[in-house]
Amino acid sequence: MLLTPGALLPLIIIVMAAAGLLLPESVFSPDYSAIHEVPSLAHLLGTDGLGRDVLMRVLKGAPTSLLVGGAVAFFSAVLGIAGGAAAGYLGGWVDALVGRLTDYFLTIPPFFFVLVAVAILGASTLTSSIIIGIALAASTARQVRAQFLTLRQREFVASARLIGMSTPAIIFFEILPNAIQPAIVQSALNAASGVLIHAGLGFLGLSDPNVAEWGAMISENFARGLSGWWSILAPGVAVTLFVVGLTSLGDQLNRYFDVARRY
Amino acid sequence: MRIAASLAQMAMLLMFVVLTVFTLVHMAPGDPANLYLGLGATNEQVAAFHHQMGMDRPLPEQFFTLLRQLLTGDLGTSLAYRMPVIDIISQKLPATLMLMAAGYLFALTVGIGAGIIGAWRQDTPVETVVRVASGLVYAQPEFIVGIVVLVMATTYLPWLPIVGMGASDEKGWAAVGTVVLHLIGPALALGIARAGIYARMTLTAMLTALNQDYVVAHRAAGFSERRIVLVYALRNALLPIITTIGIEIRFLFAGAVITEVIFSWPGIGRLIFDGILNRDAPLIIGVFFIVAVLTMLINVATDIVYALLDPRVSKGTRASTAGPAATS
Repeated sequence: MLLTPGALLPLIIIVMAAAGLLLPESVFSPDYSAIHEVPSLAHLLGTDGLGRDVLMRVLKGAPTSLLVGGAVAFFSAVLGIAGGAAAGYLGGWVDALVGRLTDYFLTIPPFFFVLVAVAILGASTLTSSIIIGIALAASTARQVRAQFLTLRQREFVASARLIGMSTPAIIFFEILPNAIQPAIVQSALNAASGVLIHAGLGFLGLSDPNVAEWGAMISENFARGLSGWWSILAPGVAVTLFVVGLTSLGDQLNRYFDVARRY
Repeated sequence: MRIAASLAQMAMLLMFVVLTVFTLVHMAPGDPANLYLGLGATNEQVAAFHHQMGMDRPLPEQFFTLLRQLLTGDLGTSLAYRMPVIDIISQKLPATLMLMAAGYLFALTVGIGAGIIGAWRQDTPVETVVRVASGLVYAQPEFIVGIVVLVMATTYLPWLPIVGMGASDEKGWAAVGTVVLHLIGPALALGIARAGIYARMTLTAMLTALNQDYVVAHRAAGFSERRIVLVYALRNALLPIITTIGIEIRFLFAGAVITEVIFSWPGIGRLIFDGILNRDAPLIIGVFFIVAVLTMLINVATDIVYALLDPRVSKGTRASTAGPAATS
């Protein structure tokens, strides 16, 4: 799993986020004598309109994006697994209810919902991650539901019922361990979409103003005109790197779980 | 019977869409009256504003009034524009649909075309180029592609109008030409990433199809390679792409918001963004409602097209028409 070139990208993400957290505060501070400088040895990716080093700014945004990705993956997984498991195992009106809820996000573009919800409920990193997680939980729920629908017919579930296991115990200890793999893969993909959506929010001015965020960086440097292309390009490349990296993590997990292909 | 059930389900879903947006906009802190009347407004003026907008009624009553309005095709009156929401949306919607159609057409033709060429020239540098190029663009968010297109166009194609939709005083073909020129930039921005996805999907599906027994049989029977690739393999490779159209429409709407903001394209993406900035509840609800209706209609259309193309589906095996992905 670690030998493919695709595995390098998740590693780069972690290194970037660690650098953003561990570098001393002084490298992030503005240098008003070096405003809008072209890339040089002193500032590898140049400086922005406030004289801040673009490379350092981009690194400082990495933990934010990683946090968003992780939180979106977590919230979409928790909601999606809970909803999908209940719908697939219990069936009936629970299934109908969860079905309508997932239809909702197949009808309303998730980004529209997130845009309005974040604008109204607040743009803190955690709030927007939860909202994005809710909007992306539908796809996880559908996959878990499909798994539960087939697994609940199997003999091991029938025997668990026969020996008197409770419904929650059957769901959590018997079926879930067999059904969770597609949900984990989907969560990695949700993390990638989440980073993208969050950057889009930042670009539209709906991210936490106290946090370094790539989308916001692009829009503030874009507003300054096209002469500082490096300060737009660098956070853009960082967003792409994260999205591709998290998607590739999903692919790796998929391949890892696909036992038939491994042997 | 199935159609009636689907219609009832769609109506329920629409009501649910309205309910959630209604709840959201009423959770917003602050009073729109302060925004629209200014801070100097007297209590009487604020009360009159509330009464005029029906905001002095209990929330459930407001919600059912809204539903009744929607049933008659009335989307209420915008707070910021002071005109019927339906008029504003019908003014802006064509621009967005045009942008989405142009972007999608670009994505489909370039993506599928590149995929076919890549599969045709299997195991040559051409396939590698298609793979690498599609891999580079598919994860690019609209705001990055949009900015790159904007920068490139203003630098290298200064004659190309890139911002807005053009003047409205032109008539006939001149007006059409102006709009088409203005459309190129935003449509590229909206379509490039999708083109990457379609190139990948087509390439994979074509390569799978080309290694199937029936292709070998066709080759043995002496059909030309062109006919095998463009007719037999392509037909099977296109099916999975058609199923994604219903899903893609949501991403196109989402991409339209950002593309329209970057290029000042006067569509409903910008409209909802302005609606959010202006705390314009009726406008936000109206745009959501129309977008939901459109997405549903396109989903139904996708299902029908899919059933026509794939005889296995038309036997009534698919349960829901509300969303093509709900059953897959």
